[in-house]
Formats: sequence, structure tokens, C-alpha cells
Amino acid sequence: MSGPGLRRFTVAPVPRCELCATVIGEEHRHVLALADRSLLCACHPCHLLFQAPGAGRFRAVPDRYLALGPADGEALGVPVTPAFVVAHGEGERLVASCPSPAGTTECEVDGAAWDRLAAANPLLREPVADVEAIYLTGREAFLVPVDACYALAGAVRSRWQGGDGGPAVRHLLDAFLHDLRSRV
Amino acid sequence: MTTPDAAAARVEVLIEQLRAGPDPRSALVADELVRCLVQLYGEGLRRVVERLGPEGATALCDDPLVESLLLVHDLHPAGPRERITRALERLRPRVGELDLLGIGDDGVVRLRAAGSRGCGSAQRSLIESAVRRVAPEAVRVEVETPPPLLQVTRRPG
Ligand SMILES: [Zn+2]
Repeated sequence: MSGPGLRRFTVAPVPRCELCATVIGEEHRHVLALADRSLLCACHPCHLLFQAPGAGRFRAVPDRYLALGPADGEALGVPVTPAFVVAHGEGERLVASCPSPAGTTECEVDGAAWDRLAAANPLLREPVADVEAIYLTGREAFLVPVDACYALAGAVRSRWQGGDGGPAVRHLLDAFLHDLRSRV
Repeated sequence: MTTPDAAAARVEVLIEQLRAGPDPRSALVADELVRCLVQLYGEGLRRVVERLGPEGATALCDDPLVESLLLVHDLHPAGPRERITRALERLRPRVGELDLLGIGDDGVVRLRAAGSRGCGSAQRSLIESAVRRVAPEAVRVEVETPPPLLQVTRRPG
């Protein structure tokens, strides 16, 4: 049992909003700190506060999932699929992250190749910079919130085995795709 | 800073300063630092109390600061019922008859005040803070007061 004063330090911390310290549930939203692209757990009011574009140092991560149709990941020169592609800043560079023992490995996406792909599938222009990603399976593309990408990267890092990640990582990626299909 | 409550108040002020600073996450780091130390010292106290046994631990409680630290760490040799009953006895001269009805599994402490000296909000908060001081594990303190007596008058006739 917790209580007032120092007692709250004698027990494990309860999840709190990292912006205002309100106690939040295990299920909660996130905001992205633009400075270092890290995620902060947020309560509903704080999340709302940072939904407006240009709202300072933090940006609310939306929770929409969309199927964006066909997209040939290999045409992008991204070495591995699946990969997440996120625009770092409005109209600036595109960065692809691929599952790896380090969680993800990043590489920059060739702008011209992306433009060709997006010309064939304009939906690829749909994601909000920084907080929404495109998940490329190799043949298809999905729009996913970046917090889901971070969660997947964390799970991949903790289960990676051998050179290719092993069956546990394959299973994770299959489950992720299955979950995506059920959400769109 | 001679009481755990004063130390806690100071700690919360400092953590709030960090939360208002350039990176609110530093407040969470500070939170974890405090947790680390409080739990270490709590574990030390637990071993001291264990070595002393119930009698020794009761003697430790003669010192109010030590007693309040034992309360912080759930190490007080007396159970909540005993602690609350004693606190109510000390309150009686000021607030009149008081009974402990029970402590729920939900952590709610239920009391009954006879109400002979009224039970205004000042008195309620006096009772509540006295209970909280000896039973910080209480989630809520409820004070029941009897309804005012109905005045029964006989109709003339
Ligand atoms: Zn908040």
C-alpha cells in the first residue's frame, strides 16, 4: 500500500504522464520529443495540447493505422524489409529503420526513388512528419504511429538471436503484420 | 527537515522544479533516484527492526522521528487498528467520544464520532490528520456522525 509523503518511494512507480506527472493507465498515448526523437508517456490533456502543429518541442503521436496499398520497398534501395520510413521534419529527409540486433538500423532513403514510388501511390504522402511512419513489408505499405514502431524495435532487440534474428523475431514480425491488418 | 513529511515536501518541490524545466523527464529520473535511496534505507531499517524483535521495535517508537520512519516503511510493531485506537484516545479530550468502526480491505478507515461537541469540518480534519499520522496506509478516513436528534413535542390537546 502506498500513501502520502515518502511512502510513494517505497513501492514501484505507477505509470505517470512524463509531462505533468498525472497517474495514467498502462494503456496510454505518447508524445515525441523532437530534440532527440524519444517518446514520452502522456495523459490525455497533455496529448491534446501537443496535437496542434508547431506546438513546440513535443508532438502528439496519432493512433491511426491505414493500409496504403502496394509499394515496392526494394525500389527504394532500403536494404532490408520490413522497414519503417519516417520523415524527419516537414519536407526534409526520409529515414528508413530496419529491425536489427540494435533494435533498428537506420539509413537515409533516396529522395528521388521515394518521389517515383509516391508518384505511383500518392497515399505514401499521407503520414504526418515525425510521428507517423510507413511500414514497408516488401510489397505493401501501411501507415502506423511511430510509438508502435518503437515498441516493435524494442521487442526485436530483446529477442534477437543469431545473424537473422531467429524464429522469435520472425514470429514478432508476423504478429505485428497480423495486428496491422486487423487495425486497418 | 526533521520529519519524513518535511523531507517529502522538500523532495516534491525539487522534483516539480525539474518537471517545469527544459526536460520534464529529468523529474522522472529524480523520482527514481529518491526511490533508490528510500528503498535502500528502508531495507536497512527492516533488518534493524527484525534484529531488535517486537519489544525493541516498540522501544524505538519512543522517538517520534524513528516512529514516523517505521511508518513510512510499514515496519511499525503495532498494527493499524492499535495505532488508530491509541490516537483516538489521545483525541477524546478535544473532540469527545470517538470509535473505530473498522478498516476496510480498501484501506478506508471508518470512525464514529458521538458528536457531543459537534463535528464541524475543522474537527473532521483534526481527526483525519491524527489518523493519517499514525496510519499513513489509510486511503481515506470517514467520520460518521449521528443524525441530529429529532425534537419530539407533544401536541397540545
Ligand atoms: Zn500530462
